[in-house]
Amino acid sequence: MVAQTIGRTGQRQSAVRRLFTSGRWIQWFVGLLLATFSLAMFYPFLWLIFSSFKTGADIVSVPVSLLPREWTLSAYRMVLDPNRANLPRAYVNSIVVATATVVAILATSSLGG
Amino acid sequence: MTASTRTARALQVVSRKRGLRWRLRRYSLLGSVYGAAVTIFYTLFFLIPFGTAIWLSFQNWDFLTDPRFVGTRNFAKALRDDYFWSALKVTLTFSVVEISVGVSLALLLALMLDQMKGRWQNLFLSLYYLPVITPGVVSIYLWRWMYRPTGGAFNTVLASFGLPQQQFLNSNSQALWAITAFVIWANVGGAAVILLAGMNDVPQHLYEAARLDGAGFWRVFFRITMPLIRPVLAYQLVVSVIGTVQMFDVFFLMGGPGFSTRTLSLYTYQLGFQTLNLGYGAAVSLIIFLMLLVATVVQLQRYQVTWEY
Repeated sequence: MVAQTIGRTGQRQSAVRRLFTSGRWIQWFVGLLLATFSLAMFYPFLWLIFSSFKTGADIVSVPVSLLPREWTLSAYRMVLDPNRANLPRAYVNSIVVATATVVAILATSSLGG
Repeated sequence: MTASTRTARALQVVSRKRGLRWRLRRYSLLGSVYGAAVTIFYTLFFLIPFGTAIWLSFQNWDFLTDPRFVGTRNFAKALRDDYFWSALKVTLTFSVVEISVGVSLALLLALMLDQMKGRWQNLFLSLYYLPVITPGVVSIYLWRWMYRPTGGAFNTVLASFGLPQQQFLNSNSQALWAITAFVIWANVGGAAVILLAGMNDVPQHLYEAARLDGAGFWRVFFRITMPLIRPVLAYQLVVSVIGTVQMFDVFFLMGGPGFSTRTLSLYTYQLGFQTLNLGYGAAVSLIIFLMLLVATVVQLQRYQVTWEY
């Protein structure tokens, strides 16, 4: 008899009820808030990513849509074309600047601390 | 007087007569080279330009004719200049709103992130940090494109909710707020990371003691978390004040119509390099510098904390 009562209140609780009684719902709520906010933070990047698959006319079309009307890789082809945008050279420039700066700062500033 | 101090005194007298090599003899050669490098670097890239700016602020110079000394006339001119005051108003409005909203939001985010554990915390943190690692010009152009009044991304969202279309950057009254929203988006992740690091540094046993004493969440927050992250908060505030008052790229690339978003730093640039009024521009930039110096010193003194725990 006693064992049955314990079984009813202790083990047969639904998952939702256990969530609320244990206080873990706060974690879920906070997680939901954070996820909503991260969506807002990521929204501009979403446009950036989808727009990279659009054609030039599609990007400036007036009822603008998030997804491309016609998926294309022409923007990537243009960037990778060495005659139009010299990407390897830009990469080398960035690497040279970054390496030189980091080495110089580490060699000088780490002695200050 | 002991023998050793006497020797030291004698050495001092001697060293006054000897050269630089003798005086540096106690330091290693590498150390002297490092010291010289930093000194030369700072002189070339900081002291000389800064000195030039101070000298320039007492001159009238237009790049073409010779600089002419005008005393403090440039500073007096700034005080009577309506454009200067309007730029100051824009700067302060932007700075106050950006910092109060941005830091509160970052504090809230850090507090929420503190409740999350491990993997999820890392995921959200990296999402919030994305705008910080995006090059400024890229995100500015992206937002400018999204702010377009006809067919922009934000107006599309507004339309889908049945809300009226907005002018954003084309409107006198909205441009500054549109820019503020962008700057908050761009900076809130960095501030949240710093505040979260501050929260992680608070010793866990204080929280346990508070819980045993029956303190609620908000009480713990105001009595333990807030006082103990105060040095981090102070750092964030000082850096934000300097960053927002000096901010240039956003206003240069995203500016609204007329003078609605012309801040002091943009005004300085326009004075110096567009109207070729270098002396006056230097004077205004020195006024910004003095303002920031006073603000930083006051903040550091106000928030100075010597805390033992």
